[in-house]
Parts: sequence; C-alpha cells; structure tokens
Amino acid sequence: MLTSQVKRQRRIERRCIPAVAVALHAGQISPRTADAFLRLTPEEQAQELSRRLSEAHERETQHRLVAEAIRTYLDSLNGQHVDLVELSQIIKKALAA
Amino acid sequence: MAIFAQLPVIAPLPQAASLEIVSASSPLTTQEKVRLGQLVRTIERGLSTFLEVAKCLQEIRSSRLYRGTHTDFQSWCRETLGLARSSVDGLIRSGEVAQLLIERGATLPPNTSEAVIRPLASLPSPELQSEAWRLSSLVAPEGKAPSHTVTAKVSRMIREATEGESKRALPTRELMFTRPISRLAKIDSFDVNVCLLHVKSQEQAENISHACGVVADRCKAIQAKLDERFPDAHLAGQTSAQD
Repeated sequence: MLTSQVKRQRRIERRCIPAVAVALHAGQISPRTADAFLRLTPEEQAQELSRRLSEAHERETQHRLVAEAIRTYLDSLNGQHVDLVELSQIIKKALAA
Repeated sequence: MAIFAQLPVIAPLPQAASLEIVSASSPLTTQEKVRLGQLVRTIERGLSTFLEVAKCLQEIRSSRLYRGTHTDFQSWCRETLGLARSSVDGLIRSGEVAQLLIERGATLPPNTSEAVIRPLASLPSPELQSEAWRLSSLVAPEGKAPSHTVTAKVSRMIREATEGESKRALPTRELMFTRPISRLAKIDSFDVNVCLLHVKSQEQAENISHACGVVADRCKAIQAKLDERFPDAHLAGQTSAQD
C-alpha cells in the first residue's frame, strides 16, 4: 500500500514542469503546493511559481528588516527598559521605509 | 544551553533523521522495534525538559515508527500518550525552535518549558524567533527567565507590527465598551444595594459616581447614534425590557 505522500510525490514528478520540481527539492515550495500546481497548464504553473517565489522573497526581506530593527533597538538600549510600543512603531517605520 | 547540553544523548538511527518517506505497510525491523521502545520509554519518563521528548516524538513521526501497531500518528498519540496529535505537533515545533535558539547561541534557563517557547514558534523565520527570544529575555523581570506571558506578548507585538492586526488581535475599544454593557444588561438579579455593599469610603463613592456618570453619558450617545441608524431599535429595546 502506498501512502498518500508517496503517491503525491510520484504524481508531482510525473506531471509538473522542471522548475516546480527544482523549487520543491530546494524546499522553496511544499509538496502540497506543488501538487496543487498540477491542475494548471505548464504556462500557468510557471507564472504561479514565479509569483509565489517573489512573494516568498518579499516576506523573507520583510522578516530580515524586522529582525534588523529589533537588533538595532536592543543594541541601542544601554541598560534602559524595553518599550514594546516604541519598538512596534520602529518596526512599522522600518517596514514602511 | 546548560541543561540541554547535560541531557543524555539518544543516538539517532542511521536513517532516523532522514526525510525519506517510509511506506505505511513495511513491517518494523528488529532495530526499529528496539528504537521505538527506547523512544517511548524516554517520553514516558516525563523528563524535566521537553527538548528530548520533542526529539523522540519527531523521530517516531518522521520514521513512522508507530506503524507496527497503529495506522496513523494521530491514533498512536491518542492511545499511547493520551495526547491529541495537535498537542504533539506543537511540542515538536517548540522543540525545534528551542534547538534552533541553542544553535544560534541563546541560553535557555534550565526550567524552560514548552509553553514558554510555544509562542515563538508562531513567528515566521528563525531569525525573528531568535530576536524575539532575546527581546523576551530583556522584557522579563530582572533575574527571572522569560515566562509564557512574556514570550506570547513579544511574539504578538512582532506579528502585529509585521502583518498588521490579525483577526485574533485584542478587540477594538468600541467592542470593549459595548460588550460589557450588553453583558451587564443581561444580569437579571440587579440590586443597587448589593452593588454598593463594598463601598466604604467617600473616595470610593466619588469614583463610582463619576464612572456611572461617564458610562451613562456614553450609553446615551450610543443610543442616539443607534436611533439615527436604526430608527426602530429603541422600540425593540423597550418591548424586551417590558417582557
């Protein structure tokens, strides 16, 4: 008996475009997402993959900015108390900029 | 780092950490059976730290070591541990975050529980989780380790600042006013004397009187606005009051 995971993996390998397989092996998309791509035409798969990867890149950039803002704030504290409201404003400003 | 470094290390199986998909029907090998026994015993011993337990559970899940007796991980969790699958998944996620924090150089106090780490798991990137832990350590009272409340507050602040206020965010000020008013109106056994039993001083009386005046004014403003928007609303209110 094959598990649904095995079936899904085989289905993806059989029917997805190479770019989707590469993204899946690189961990950029999940098997479930890759499976959902199979309902699309090859052109649509490429478009959807590109959209998702650029969104993921944007999110990563955003997370890096937030982490950087927190790090800078903590480094500049000099023993003062942490003000979460102020830090929240700093993060929002960093993201807006 | 201290406590986790002292824990006995459970040697991984050769294929244990791999993400290979194990067929549900393949029988357990002798080695796998022995390994499952070791892992279950470790979990049952209820070690003081969740990190080792989380590692054991992760290995059972990823290597499908439950397949000898159960068809799925969910029923194994329920029948062997008496836990819901979601709780076990949460425990594993928290263990992964704790491991990541240690790898990034964070120092976890010896009594750090899964509940303290759990809110950090909701943050989307390891970098943010790491910074959130650092922030929590500074927000926590001096000389104390971060508690669940602290990490939850810090994580929520970061999430809301990053993604905007979620649906699960605290209710708005307007809802915070009308909800208690609706609840108060539903209390059948209202008695002025009982309400004021605890009032002993002039200062208390003044404070309560002032608050009642403010609430009454606000309620009147709400009624006026409701009358504008829903002209028949006050009629329905009067009818239900008479009933």
